[in-house]
Amino acid sequence: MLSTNDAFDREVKRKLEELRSEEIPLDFLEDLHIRLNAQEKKKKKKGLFWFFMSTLFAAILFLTFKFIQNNTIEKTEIPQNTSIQSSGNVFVVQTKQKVTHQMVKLSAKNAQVYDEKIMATPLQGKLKPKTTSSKKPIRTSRKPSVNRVVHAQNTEIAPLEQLHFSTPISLTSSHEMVNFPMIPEMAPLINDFQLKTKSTSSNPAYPEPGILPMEKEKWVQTFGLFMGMSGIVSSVDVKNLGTSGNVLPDLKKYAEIRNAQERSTSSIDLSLRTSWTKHHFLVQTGLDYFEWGEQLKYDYNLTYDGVNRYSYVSIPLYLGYRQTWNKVQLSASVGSSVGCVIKHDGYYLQSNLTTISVEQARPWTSTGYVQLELSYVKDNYRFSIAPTYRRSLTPVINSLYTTNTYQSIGLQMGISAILK
Amino acid sequence: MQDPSAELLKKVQSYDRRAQLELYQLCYPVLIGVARRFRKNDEDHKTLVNNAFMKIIQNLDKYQDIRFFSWIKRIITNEIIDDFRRTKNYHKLFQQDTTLEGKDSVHAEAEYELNQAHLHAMLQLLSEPTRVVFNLFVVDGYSHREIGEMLGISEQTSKWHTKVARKKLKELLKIESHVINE
Repeated sequence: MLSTNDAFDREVKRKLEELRSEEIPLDFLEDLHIRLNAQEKKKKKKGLFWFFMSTLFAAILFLTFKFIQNNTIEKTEIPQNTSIQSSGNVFVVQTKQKVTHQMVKLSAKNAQVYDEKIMATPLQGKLKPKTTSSKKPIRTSRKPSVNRVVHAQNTEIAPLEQLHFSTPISLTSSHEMVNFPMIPEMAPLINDFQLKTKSTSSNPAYPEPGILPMEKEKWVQTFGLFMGMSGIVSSVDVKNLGTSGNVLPDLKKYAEIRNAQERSTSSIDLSLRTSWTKHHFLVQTGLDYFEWGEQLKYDYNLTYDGVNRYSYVSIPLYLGYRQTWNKVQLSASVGSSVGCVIKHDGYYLQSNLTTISVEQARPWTSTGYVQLELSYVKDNYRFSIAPTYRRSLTPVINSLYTTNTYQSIGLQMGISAILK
Repeated sequence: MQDPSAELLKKVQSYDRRAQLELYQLCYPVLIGVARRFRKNDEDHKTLVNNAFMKIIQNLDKYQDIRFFSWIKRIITNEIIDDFRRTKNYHKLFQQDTTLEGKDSVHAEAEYELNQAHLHAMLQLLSEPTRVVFNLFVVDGYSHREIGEMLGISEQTSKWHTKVARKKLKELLKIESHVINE
């Protein structure tokens, strides 16, 4: 006998919580196995994702280190009479550093130091040599990658501490350059300089125009990191199922509902890129991380809000054209990539319009790209912005009745090191 | 019912398939019991039980200090509530239900015996909002305030659904006992 509400509630609770041992239905176990397999796969893909992220991190560290290294100016006070030993008319430059892009001019009257930046500018009429007093110590920057041109007056020349020659440099007269070191990379520069300056000034230290051999143009390689955002637009298409259409649900309506209620979303793009350029021709490849997906706002027989995201790691190949104006470069390229899915579960309204079920993205995808890239070159670095259009070339989701394809427009920004 | 051993849980966390199935066998009676209280059809039971089990094994590292079976009950109850809230305009369901039933709070008093299978069947005769509120209040022990917060309804609405459920269940039990006696 149960007369009060509390007693009734207690009794109902007790009865409903009684556990009955029963066989687990087979379909429950089958469903569980599918889910556990999917979870296991996901775990494996996570490993791939973290490998990619750590590679990315290492690349960022590498680029940052190189950037800092090239921009650190270490000022060193150099005492006189230490770098060059004089023995009669023969100067011997002693240093421990290896110098590959350096050139020495010794003259009897002036001691002048130019660095490569200045060396580049005089050819455009901006050369302003720094004249140094031979009695004061010369402050100079220790930049191993910077080329130098040194005009030395006599034995008291300090700033040559970076120079290294395998053979002694001898000086025979006050305005004469002897044993001029041959640096192939400098040849076009010097020839050009001579042509421009010949009419106004004549410097006997420089050879006549055209006498230095010109080197053939080489492939220039860059290695860089790009990051950006894209807006993704999804599209649901009904498969052509032939004449069996009579027994199928109203697929046209189904596709219309999904196209209306699956909206665009954004994606993060990360890329490690390496490119090779010769003349105007550009080849680019690397490792990309990108996403496809959509925002769900189902409001038909049921309401459901959510976001589907499918993440990919892919290897792209671009071919393109690059035009250079001084320090600005503009490239246009097209390409495609093959990608492997690392996050593949998505939720979709089913054709009965009353349920939402998990669909899995296909494990591999191919993607087409069109990219413009505007770059500014500073020292050995390129700073770029790259508007990119991307489109899935194969369906990303292949369901029973429909396929999902995606396209996106985005903007990436990046920094690349020029590896000569 | 004894909690599963720490060793078993550790194996489950390291994706040992045998251990996962062993844990599933332990959890199944509890999970299906809760799913049956709230939902009618077998397909829903399967989805709810397996969704909850996947959440259990994914969140085992967060499980501590409470009884394991209380913890998994909470997980499946939350799963059911989330699922219920995804139903289109579930707020309207509460309003419609209130309108149809009126505000009759007189309880039929009778003698009856409770049988689990019959109780489950009778619960399914209640409207979904009433069944959800009644289960949460009577069986799962949530207060009307908590139920109101979970389902986005007022405390009074929660109380009203509990009363309606009690009344209906008592009526159904009364009818059943008459049938048995005759």
